[in-house]
Amino acid sequence: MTLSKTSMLATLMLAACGSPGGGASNDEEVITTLVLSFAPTGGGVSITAEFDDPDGEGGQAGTAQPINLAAGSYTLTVGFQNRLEAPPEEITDEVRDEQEFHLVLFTGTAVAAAGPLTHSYGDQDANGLPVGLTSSVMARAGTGQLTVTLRHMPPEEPPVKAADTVMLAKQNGIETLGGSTDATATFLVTVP
Amino acid sequence: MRLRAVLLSVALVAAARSASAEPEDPQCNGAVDVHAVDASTHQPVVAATVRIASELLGTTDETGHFLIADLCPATMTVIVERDDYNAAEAIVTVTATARSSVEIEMRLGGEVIEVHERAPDPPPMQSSTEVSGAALERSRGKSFTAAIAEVPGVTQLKSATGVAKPIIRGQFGRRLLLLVDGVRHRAQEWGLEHAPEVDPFVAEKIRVVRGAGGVRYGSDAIGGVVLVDPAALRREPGYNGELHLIGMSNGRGGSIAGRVQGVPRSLPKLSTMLEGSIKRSAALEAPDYALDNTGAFEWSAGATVDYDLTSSDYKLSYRRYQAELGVCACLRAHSIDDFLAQARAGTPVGADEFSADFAIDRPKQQVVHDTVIARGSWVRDKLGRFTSTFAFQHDLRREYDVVRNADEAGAQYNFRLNSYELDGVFEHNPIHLSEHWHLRGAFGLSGLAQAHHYAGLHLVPPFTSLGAGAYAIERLIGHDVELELGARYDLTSRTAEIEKIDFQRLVRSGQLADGACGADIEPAKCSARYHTFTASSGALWRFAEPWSIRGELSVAQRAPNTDEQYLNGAAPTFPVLALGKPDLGPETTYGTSLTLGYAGTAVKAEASGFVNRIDDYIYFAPAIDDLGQPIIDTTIRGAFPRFTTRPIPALFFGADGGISAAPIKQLDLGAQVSLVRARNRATDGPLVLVPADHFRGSITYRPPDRWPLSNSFVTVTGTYVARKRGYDPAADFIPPPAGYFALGAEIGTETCTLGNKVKIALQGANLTNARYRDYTSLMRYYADEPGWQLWLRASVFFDSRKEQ
Repeated sequence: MTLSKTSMLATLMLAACGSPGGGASNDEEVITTLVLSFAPTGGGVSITAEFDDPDGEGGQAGTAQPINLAAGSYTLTVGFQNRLEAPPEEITDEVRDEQEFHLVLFTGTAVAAAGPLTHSYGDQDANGLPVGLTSSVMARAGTGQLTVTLRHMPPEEPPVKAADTVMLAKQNGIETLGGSTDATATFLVTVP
Repeated sequence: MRLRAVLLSVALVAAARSASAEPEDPQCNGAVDVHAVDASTHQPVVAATVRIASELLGTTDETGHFLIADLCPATMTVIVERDDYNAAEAIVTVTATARSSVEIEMRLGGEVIEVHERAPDPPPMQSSTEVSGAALERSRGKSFTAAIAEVPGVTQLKSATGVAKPIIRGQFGRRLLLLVDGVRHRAQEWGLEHAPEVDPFVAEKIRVVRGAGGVRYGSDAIGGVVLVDPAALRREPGYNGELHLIGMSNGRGGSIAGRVQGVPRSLPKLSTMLEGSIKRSAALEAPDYALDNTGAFEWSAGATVDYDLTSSDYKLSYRRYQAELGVCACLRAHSIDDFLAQARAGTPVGADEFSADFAIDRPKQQVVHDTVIARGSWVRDKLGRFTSTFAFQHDLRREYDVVRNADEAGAQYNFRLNSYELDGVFEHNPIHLSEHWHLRGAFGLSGLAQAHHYAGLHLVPPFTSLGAGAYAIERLIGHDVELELGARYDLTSRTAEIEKIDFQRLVRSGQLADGACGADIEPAKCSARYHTFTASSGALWRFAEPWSIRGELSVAQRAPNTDEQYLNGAAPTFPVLALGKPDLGPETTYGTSLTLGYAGTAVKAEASGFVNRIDDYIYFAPAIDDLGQPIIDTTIRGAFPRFTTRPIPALFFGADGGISAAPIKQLDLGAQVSLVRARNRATDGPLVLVPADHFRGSITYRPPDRWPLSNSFVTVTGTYVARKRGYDPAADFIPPPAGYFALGAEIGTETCTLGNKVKIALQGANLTNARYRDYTSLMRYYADEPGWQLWLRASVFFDSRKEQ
């Protein structure tokens, strides 16, 4: 008797419990997709390449599309999306909203001295420091690897991002910066 | 303390008799074993005086026994007395050489002060330590785990929030039970970063049982059991209480804690208790930099009412613990590159910017734990005592990561666990098999219903769980020997709701067969049911006072935890991708331990050795592919090692012990050692997070009392932790830190102001401000442990019945 009473009580109470709050899925931090879009400065069709991890972290590994550019100058825009949501959630706007605390870094053999790409930042945050959502790129013949990394800088006030942050990251490695990596992907660049 | 006085007086009386009697006289070798028991309950009557005519012989021991030796043949009347009982007597005939025994039944007196002392629980067959009094006061103002950290065999698993969870004999979290007021603490104990949500001020006494205690407390008590006993309730009309003020130098914070107990004169059967504490501190400081964002804000409050009718007792209590804990800004677990760069750097990245302020920013944890306990116990004279407990626990944990849009983002991990438990225990009266042997025992039934809700980044699924258990435990108690047998059965049934994407990930990773949870996978409802058995046997032999030896053999099965089954996502603590194994079976521990004890008046010592062989030990370790290579998952945040839970054959063994000696009255010397070894029996490799060897020594000087000060003391403590030997580079990432020595000291005294006892103490830790890292601290990957630290404590104890 006690047992059946207990289980009844338990069922009632279990049914009464709510969700712990904090949003139903709380996926605003999830990024599944990094999109590079190279728009020729002289006009014409943009060339895009994506790194997409369709099931998020774990399970299936993400894949990066190759970047095939013609020699010339381009405006490069970087976008971030969460495609686990329907419709896909645009994360780029959130990054732009907090640009003092974000930095997109471009590393790898493709942007090294002998590489096919010459990269320069095309945007600035409120403190006059680069963000990296928009850049200028010069392409010349060659191949190399381009690693694009979105770094979330430490939430310190004033912001930790400084004039030498990009240089230090290239010199010592991105992992020596404060903060954490929100997204990173490596693309193969070919310029015939 | 009282027990020691009793033993001492018995020893003195015995010595006096053997000196005064003529042992050479062959006629006077008779002996009578007197056994005093309560007439209605057959519980032993402890500390009753025994006399023959007007000659006082001594008092009965904790089993109600007293031996009268060297008697000449005669017929004599033995009288046994205790304040709350009517005097009882028995006529015994002593022969020249034979030893006779007599059981004397005692009846409670008519108009006496009610003494509610029950016979103490029999000592556990495992080695155990009780922390109370001065030892517990030393830990006031620190975390719950710090309160038991000085116990042999116990080490702390410290997290990046500055709080810790206990490790006993290499086991923690899921394999270690924590009982508060007899109710198992139910929380997210699986997480390495989840410290027990218990306010240490609640405890008046903490008992640590090392080794499997599964039969009585639950089948997953593989490593041991920590029992937190709240303050004993007041039983006489009036009020009493205590107030503690603690200030700490490192963290520039402090605590206030208090407790008031009262029994109204008009309702002397009603006992009430209110207690509460509050703690606030800024970030701690390591010797060379601040541990940015490790500030803490904790509070707790509780109320208890108890109505005591002589043959029954009803108790209701409620407690809430709430905390906001900052996670060190030095934590870098979002990618393996960041993590390793930090771990190898020596000084945290960005340490120049770190400050020891009070603000608690992201990353941080917020926890709330509510406990309601309703308990009734009923005594039936001829049968025994039946106790039933209903407990409800609500555990809410929110973890906030550094995110974009932080003001509106809320917490990234939200766990809510509701647990409902009902149990009943029947402790039968001691059954007297003969004058020398009696049987004590208990039977119990327990039921549990749990619901776990989860929202946030993919990590663990919501689940509902139902469990039931039954156990029986019996102990045969003789004068010098005790034997115990126990058995337990548990049934656990659990259903987890796994989101489609998580389910598919488990299938793709080979952790789960497609279709294992039915055709509908939106969400997949995965059920599991476990039958687990636990059995134990133990023996205690007091082979030559004050020596004793205890041994136990046990086999215990533990059903896997939900996280071990369904963990699925980037672990918040380590830069790894964690995947559970839904079809794990129970793990089985075959354990044995042997404990040698010495309880003399000047020296007390205990040494214990143990071996636990665990089959299908559920282990969280790097996943290895068919070619023997670690599996790396490439995600948009970089490459992550994949960790999975899986069964391995394991072996834990080790030794621990302690000694305290008082070579002269004013001096106490203490020493403790804890050694644990653990191997994967399949690979003969080491296991992760098994503590390094710990050694501890202390010297205490107690000067003679000098008015108005009393019980003054000075203690110096040294702790040496050796470098952990053996580590698995794939699972542990970096080599274990070097060994270290930490120096502590304390000075304290007691006085009386306006009739109230006042205690003041100043305590210091890491007085040399040594830079060190600890193998079982998760901080070791990121930063040094805190530097020197002082605590100043002042406590006032008041009572409406002033001490005479």
